Amino acid sequence: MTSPDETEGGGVSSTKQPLMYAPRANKFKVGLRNFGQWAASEKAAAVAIGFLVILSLSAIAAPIVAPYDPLQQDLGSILNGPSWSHPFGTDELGRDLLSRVIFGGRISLATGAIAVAIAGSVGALAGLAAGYVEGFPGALIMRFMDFMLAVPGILLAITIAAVLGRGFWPATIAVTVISVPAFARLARASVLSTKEEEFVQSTRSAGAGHTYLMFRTIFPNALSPLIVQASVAAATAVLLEAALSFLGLGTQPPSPSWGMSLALGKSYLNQSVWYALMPGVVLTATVLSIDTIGRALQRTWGGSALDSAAGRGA
Amino acid sequence: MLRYLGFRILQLVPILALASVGIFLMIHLVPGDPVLTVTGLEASAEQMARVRHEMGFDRSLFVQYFDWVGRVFSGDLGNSLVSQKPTTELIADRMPATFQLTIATMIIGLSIGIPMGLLSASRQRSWIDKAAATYSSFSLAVPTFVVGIVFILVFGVKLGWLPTASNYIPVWEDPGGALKSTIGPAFTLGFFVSGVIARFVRASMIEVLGLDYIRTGRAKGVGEAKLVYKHAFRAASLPTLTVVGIQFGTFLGGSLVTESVFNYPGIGRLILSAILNRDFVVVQGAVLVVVIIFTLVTLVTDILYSLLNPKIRSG
Repeated sequence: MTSPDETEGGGVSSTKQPLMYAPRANKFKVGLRNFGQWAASEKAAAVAIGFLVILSLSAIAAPIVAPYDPLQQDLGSILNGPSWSHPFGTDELGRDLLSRVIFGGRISLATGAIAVAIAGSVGALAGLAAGYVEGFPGALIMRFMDFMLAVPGILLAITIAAVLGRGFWPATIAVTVISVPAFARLARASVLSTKEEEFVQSTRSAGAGHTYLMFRTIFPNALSPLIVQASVAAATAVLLEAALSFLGLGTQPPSPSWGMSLALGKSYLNQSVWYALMPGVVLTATVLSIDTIGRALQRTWGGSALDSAAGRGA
Repeated sequence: MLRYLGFRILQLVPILALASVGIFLMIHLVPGDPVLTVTGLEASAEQMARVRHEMGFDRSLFVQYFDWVGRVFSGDLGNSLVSQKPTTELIADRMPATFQLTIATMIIGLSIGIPMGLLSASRQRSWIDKAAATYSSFSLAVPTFVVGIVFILVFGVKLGWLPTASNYIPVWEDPGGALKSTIGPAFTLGFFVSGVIARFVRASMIEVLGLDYIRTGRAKGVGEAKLVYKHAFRAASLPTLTVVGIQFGTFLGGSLVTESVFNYPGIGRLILSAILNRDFVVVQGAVLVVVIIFTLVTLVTDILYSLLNPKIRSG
């Protein structure tokens, strides 16, 4: 679910179950063709996917792709602007900014992926359970989620990160925790709306057990809004991780996270514009790309309006 | 109406009770000894035990919680572990700054967001609509600290028009200075808010414009401008009110990131520095105040909503 595989169901518009049921034999080919058609009609999303693919590949292959070691200092050329040897310029210790941005991508993308994978599965399961088993246990789960939504996201994330200490994992856990409630709400809402539909009732009267009903009958119908939510959550997770690092609560130096580079770059605005600007541009492009894909998926699959503003803008 | 009001106020009780337990537990599960914040690292075991007893940290969590809540009701949020000042005083010092910033943010956000939403709803699929959609996507995706840094870079460093770090100057004392010191953070947050509002106004306008009474109005020959800006906007402004209320309540709680970028002395910076200093008395008190403010603002928004929309009251 983390890197929404757009081949699935792309192009199949607004039917009730867009995900499955391509003929089994050439599912891949059909999927690829559908994806091609979808990408042609959603050009901005296609560009965004392209950008994210390049970004992810360079983050994975960072040691090969990056022109320099991100920690290698060169005190002879500090705070330089872009040049042929340093396309993004250098920082206050003469480290190559492009290399640092490429390595920083590992942190941001990993946080986004981990947060969405865990928060998505936990939230979806909790919501599924809360929607399927109404009454006390379900209500309890949802009240807890409501409480979490009542505290501003960034404040909750900062408190959790501060409680757990500073570093990559505390920040990632904080971002994961605050991403859960949105998934739970969404999953519960779609379970409640499909539960009473005829095809579910008939499956039940045919003797299907609870597990089968929950995971094989109801869940697939809740999947597309959850995937759209996953994209919004991934973008918010990347944003929040950067915000935590910016405040000094995320990955610690010398590790090159984007948020921290921005915070450092801010103190050198007088000497070099590029230091703060470059990580900012890449961070913004990443969030924008994920959002764009999410909106395109939402247009394709329909569904309720998403609150992509939640948890942002602090 | 009274019944509705009473019901909504009663609803606050469990929410706030739950929130207070949540905040208390979260803070008290912090690894690390709060006593060390007071005594310093070199304290002897006896010294620490004495301070722990004086501050009541040797009691059970249960007792400590009810002691805290009891004091909260009498308006005592405890003293800061770092500065020894009462938390209420620290919050009261910072609140005017955050209030001024929030008002300025909402003015900027509304004056960009509403016209943009109206224009793009009345000219769907035109270039204006597309430009507005791009604008709001951007405003939601660009992190506030990036907007803030670019703002400082352009207006502070390059043009030299504004200070690179803001201070709180009350608007009634020195309007010009207040504008200079507030515009940076207010623009940063307002840029975000304007995108949220533009998108929301557009969506609710499109919904209203598709309703029967608008069609009837159009058939009767009501001018398009009057139809959009008077009849439809009146109906569409109701749901918009909720979004504005939520944003207002959120920013009244302080914006940790933006206030840090501009060194603006609001509630957000107070909470952030308390968290970094492990001053858990202040964190606990300030976060509780933030949550109370947020819930109250949402309550007021809901009440306003029901006053403007009689359908809700009976329901």
